[in-house]
Amino acid sequence: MELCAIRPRLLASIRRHICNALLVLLCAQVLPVSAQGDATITANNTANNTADKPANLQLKPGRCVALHQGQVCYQRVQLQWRAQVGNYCLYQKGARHPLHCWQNVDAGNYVYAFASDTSVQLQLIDTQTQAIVAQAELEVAWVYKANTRRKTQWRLF
Amino acid sequence: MVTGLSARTLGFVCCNLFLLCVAWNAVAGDLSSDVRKGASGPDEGNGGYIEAGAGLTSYTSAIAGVPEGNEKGEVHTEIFLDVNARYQYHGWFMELFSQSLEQFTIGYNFYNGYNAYNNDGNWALDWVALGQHDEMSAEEADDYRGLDTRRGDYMSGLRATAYYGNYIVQMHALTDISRTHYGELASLKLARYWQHRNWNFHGIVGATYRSQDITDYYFSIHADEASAKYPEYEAPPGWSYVMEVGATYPLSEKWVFRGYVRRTGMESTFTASPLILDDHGDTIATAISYVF
Repeated sequence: MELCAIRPRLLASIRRHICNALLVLLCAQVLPVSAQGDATITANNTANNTADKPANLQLKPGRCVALHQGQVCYQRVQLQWRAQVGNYCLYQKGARHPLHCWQNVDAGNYVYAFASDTSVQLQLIDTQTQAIVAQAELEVAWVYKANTRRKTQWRLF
Repeated sequence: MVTGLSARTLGFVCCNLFLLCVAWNAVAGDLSSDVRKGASGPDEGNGGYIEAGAGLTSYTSAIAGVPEGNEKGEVHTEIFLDVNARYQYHGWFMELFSQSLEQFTIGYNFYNGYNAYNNDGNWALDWVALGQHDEMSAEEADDYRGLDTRRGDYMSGLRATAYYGNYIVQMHALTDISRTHYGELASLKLARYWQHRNWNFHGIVGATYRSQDITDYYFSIHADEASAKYPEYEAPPGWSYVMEVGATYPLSEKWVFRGYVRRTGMESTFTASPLILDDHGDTIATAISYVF
């Protein structure tokens, strides 16, 4: 309650009972989380690639995390691609206009200011053949998932 | 309060921790928790979540003996255990949120109202039971030596929560069920959140009314316990208020950062009580927790 500010005796009691177990639990979780922060998504290879120089599209990070499901997630994403020398454009799947285009190159970088409430596919397209050279997914995740809703209003047990 | 967990409920919480681990979808209920998440409606589904972490807080307290030896304006700094958990099953729920304005709460969600236009859940009625005031005794703090023991209470009643866009309004109407002071309490709180990029900022304002049964029990000094340090005093019924701003940020899908600044205050009439040192207390706290 507001009148009783902080109660250190309770904090001490809580710490005495739970702290050791919690520390072990937290330490056990550190490594997986660090790995997640460095995660990248490697593109699927599709057409127009030779076996000795496969095209790829990498996103760093490959995941955008917002707080609650349904919120727009914001992320600056570093894209790197490599393919055979050619003309390419980077598209968000389903979009009419490219995010960026390159002429007569075999690699490129792009910083993508991502803002979406759903995961998106990014596609590197050969502008001469219109073939998808490489693609990768930028995944949107949330800490708190949306609630399950019932349609009933009143309930009694 | 930084810890909404009282010692007497610790055993109950521990016994039910395994239940809290069986489902991971987030649920709504406690105003302080909902506004930090950016929740847009009440939860009606079965399930729950649990978070645990650590935090650092600095605060001043208006209450004598909280913490032991407290003086007016004294700043206390502590590390605290940040535990947030909720589980709901067929309407029955229990919730604990360390940074909440409320303590560990059990309850039953018996009604959910829907917006007539989009059929979206936007308000809920719950029966709740929770502790509201902690024990004040010489066992808890030397400051209370010579005074009669004021037992911690347990109150129960109605909780109504309305969600309207980024706003949440919550009302409590509670009565003592622990035969401690036989008092009544009513509170109204308004909360709002703003999303800026992946940050969630929030603000809360609220007021609480306590009947004289409550204020007399905890803050009056009766003739048989009066002394030079604690002269006789009769507390009137009255209001307290709370204002809070804070921020929440998802460090990853599993780690969450939270911080807030809070002022809790009360009517100046209360400050005449020898047990109340100031008309307000301030808290600043940050915590990082892991969402299981």
